[in-house]
Amino acid sequence: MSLKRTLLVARKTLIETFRDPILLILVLGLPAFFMLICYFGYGTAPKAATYPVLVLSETSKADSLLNRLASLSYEDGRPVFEFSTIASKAEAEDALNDKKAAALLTLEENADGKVDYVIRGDAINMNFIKASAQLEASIIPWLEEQQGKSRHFSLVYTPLDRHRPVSEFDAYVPGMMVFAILLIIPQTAMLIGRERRNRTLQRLNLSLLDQADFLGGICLSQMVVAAIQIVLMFAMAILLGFHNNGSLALALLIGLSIAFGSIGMGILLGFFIKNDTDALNTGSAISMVQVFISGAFFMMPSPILFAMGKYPVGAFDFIPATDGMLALQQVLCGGAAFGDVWFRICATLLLSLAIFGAGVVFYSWKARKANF
Amino acid sequence: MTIVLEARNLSKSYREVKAVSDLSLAVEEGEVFGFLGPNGAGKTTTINMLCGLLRPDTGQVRLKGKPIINGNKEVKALVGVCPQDIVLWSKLTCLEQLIFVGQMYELPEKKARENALRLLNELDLDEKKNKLACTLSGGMQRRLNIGLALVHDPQIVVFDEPEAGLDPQSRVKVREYIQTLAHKKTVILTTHNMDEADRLADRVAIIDHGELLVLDTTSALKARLGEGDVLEINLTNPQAENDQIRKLFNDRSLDVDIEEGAHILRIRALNAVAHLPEILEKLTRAGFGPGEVRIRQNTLEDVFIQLTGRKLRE
Repeated sequence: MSLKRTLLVARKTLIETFRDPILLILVLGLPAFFMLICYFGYGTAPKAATYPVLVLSETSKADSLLNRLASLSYEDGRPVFEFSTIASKAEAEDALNDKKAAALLTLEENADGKVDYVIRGDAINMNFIKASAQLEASIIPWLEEQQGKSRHFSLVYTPLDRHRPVSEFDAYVPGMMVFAILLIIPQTAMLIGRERRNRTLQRLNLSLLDQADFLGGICLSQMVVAAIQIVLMFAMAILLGFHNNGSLALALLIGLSIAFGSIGMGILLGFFIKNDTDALNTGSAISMVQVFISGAFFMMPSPILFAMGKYPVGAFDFIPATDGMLALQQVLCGGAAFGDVWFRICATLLLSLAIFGAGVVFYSWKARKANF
Repeated sequence: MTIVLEARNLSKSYREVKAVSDLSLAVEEGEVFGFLGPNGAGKTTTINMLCGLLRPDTGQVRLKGKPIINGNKEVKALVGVCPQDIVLWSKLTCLEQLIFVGQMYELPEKKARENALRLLNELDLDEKKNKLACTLSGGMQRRLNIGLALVHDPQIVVFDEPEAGLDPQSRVKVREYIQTLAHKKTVILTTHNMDEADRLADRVAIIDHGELLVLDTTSALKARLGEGDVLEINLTNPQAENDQIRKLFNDRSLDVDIEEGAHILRIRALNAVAHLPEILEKLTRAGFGPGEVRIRQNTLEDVFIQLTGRKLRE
């Protein structure tokens, strides 16, 4: 293997990549677009929002409850609810339909002289789901207190990580970065497929270049692309209001570890695809399956198979992107340091190495078969 | 003459199809060696084995006495291959890809650039040096394809169908360029174009169905058909039977050949022009309607027809 030839192949591949609009859109444009969608979809408002709640009260028996609810606040001092009194149910219905309010709390005395607490809202509105859960969690203890029941336990939340995502957008940023890195699979497949199909790979095999130079060059170029992706996505996220709690260098290490596995998969795939469309379709399908399995968009339940020391190993943990995603989330949102995520980083690296190794073995086998 | 490339008993099969069968040949230093045969004759398979792209099932190729297998780098650097297909990196400029390929043969960047610029000039591409390959015309791409085979200054250059798919103007340019290489380098040329081989090659090997039919200088091959000229007479009467025509010339020592279907009578004879009035008179009297008449010298195509019983492009 020659380092010089490896670097030359990497430089040539990077030049080709940055001159090809399809590849640029795939690896940089598409993830940036998804990042924007996340930003507009979830926003950077604090994850724990103040919920506007309408109150229709026909009794004074619940005034103390309303006072209690109105005094509830988050750690940073923001109120949990913002109450507005409303005169009629019809008016409340309009406000709920227009999503001006998250929920309607109706308090009315029944025939027994007891108060009925009714929470009404749009069941497909996430704000209602969250607000109603908060209301329920606050009303039940109050009712128990009123009935003279003593509480046998208290509930205290202690986050696993040093920090937690401030906004919904924060929670999605690591996933978007993993999504971007996984798009290296179709890109690598396209690059390998083109060299094979256009017979430039044969031309290279006629030269003094050997397989290690070629694969090393492709790998290096895609690692550079992955590094650019991570830095760009990170910068874009910060500009859009991402509350970063971790180290970019550590995020780069994790991202590059995932990229290594993606490159291996791309090399494997590159020998099966017939053209660019094929590479894009098949490669993207493989990427998307991993995006979902890894939990980049939302957490997937993964059956725990066994434990390695204190680390549970789930069925999906055998995909490098899953371990990488967990590590990236812990670093960027949770503020974890290398010592906290070393197990996941090592798992990502080892699994990626195995996939890359499989890609190299397959490449060599195909090369021998083709006799070049 | 020194033998630079030697193939011994090469055979290659693709499943049940025997592409090359027990082929042996030797290429001499500085010669232009033509490899002739119809499409599917086994030319490209042979070439791929000769330059180390394809491993033969049996047999051996030696380049300057050294076997050309197992990625022998010393041997690889001696050969430049211009494949039949245009093999370029579409998103690299002409200059970039020439330098890149040069560096793949371990030329220092300065030397690779020098060679690249010289080749671009020689191939009439210097104005396009900073253009992406995908923006070049077909003829220019073909010339760049040739440049990529030569950028590392190999001693042996293999051209696989270099004129394929070219317009007449580009064909002349490519042919002239290959002629400039003659005797400076050893050139191996595969083609199914007889004219191309006749003009360029010092020696020609004719291959068909994977077997070497003949190998000699072009003049010696043509001389095998006998001395003299070839008269070609188009017969306008479609009813003319081949046997009847042959009977007309039984009494003369003329080599008569009739192309089936096309009704072309081909007569090879010494001083054929002198026999022409008598031949035409016989054909007219027999009612076979002689039409257009052409006279020419023996060609490699005649050699191929003699050897295989069919035209090269069939």
